[in-house]
Amino acid sequence: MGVKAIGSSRPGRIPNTILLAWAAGLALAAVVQAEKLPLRVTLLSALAVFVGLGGARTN
Amino acid sequence: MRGPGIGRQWLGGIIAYAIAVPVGATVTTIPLHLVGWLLGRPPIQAVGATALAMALIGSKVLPLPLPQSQWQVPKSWARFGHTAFAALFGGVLGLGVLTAISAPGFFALLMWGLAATHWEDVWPVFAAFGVGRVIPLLALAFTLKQSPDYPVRIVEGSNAIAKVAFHGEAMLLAAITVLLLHPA
Repeated sequence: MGVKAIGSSRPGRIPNTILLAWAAGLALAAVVQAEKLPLRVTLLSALAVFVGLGGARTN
Repeated sequence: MRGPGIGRQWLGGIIAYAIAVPVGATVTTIPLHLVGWLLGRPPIQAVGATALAMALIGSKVLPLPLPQSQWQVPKSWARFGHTAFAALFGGVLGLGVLTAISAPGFFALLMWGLAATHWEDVWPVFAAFGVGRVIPLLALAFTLKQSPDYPVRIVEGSNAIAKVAFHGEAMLLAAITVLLLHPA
């Protein structure tokens, strides 16, 4: 059994909230690249926090 | 919770768990970084590619199963005592790889652990994972401890937190995909 995806109940159909999240991520990346901000570890740490929060249901 | 003894035991378990999870997560980075060195360090673009794959798999655009362990912390470990069991349980969960993978984005973190040149760039990321994994239990344990259906509400609350967190994870997977597939 693989990791349970939360985003959608049906394959191929992406909820609007996930599309919005992706758009926000792309905008964030554009800002970071344009400003040459050294945020690689910070962004990965932020991702790690959300991954950890997601793990609450597997505890 | 009834009685000061049980209350202290409960609190001791919570504290042991809260410390053990980030410690376990940080310990994971040592073999991970070593394996990355033995492999000759995958290119940083591999982290971006993994983030892209996990964004697509997590949202079911690519309905592929991800590998993960089915192993669970044995209940028999409770013989070590409540606090020790909580610490062992937290430490194992913090390792992140021995039990069920918490979320698809974890694979991007693993790839970062293999690809990053400096260990100082890896351990804070995994410590953050540990902190993130502790927060829901702490929040729910302290807010729900008076509830008669405490275990059920912990599970419900955890699921609700995980659903919200997935959107943050999706946003950051998209950002990391762009930034690491075409690093400046």
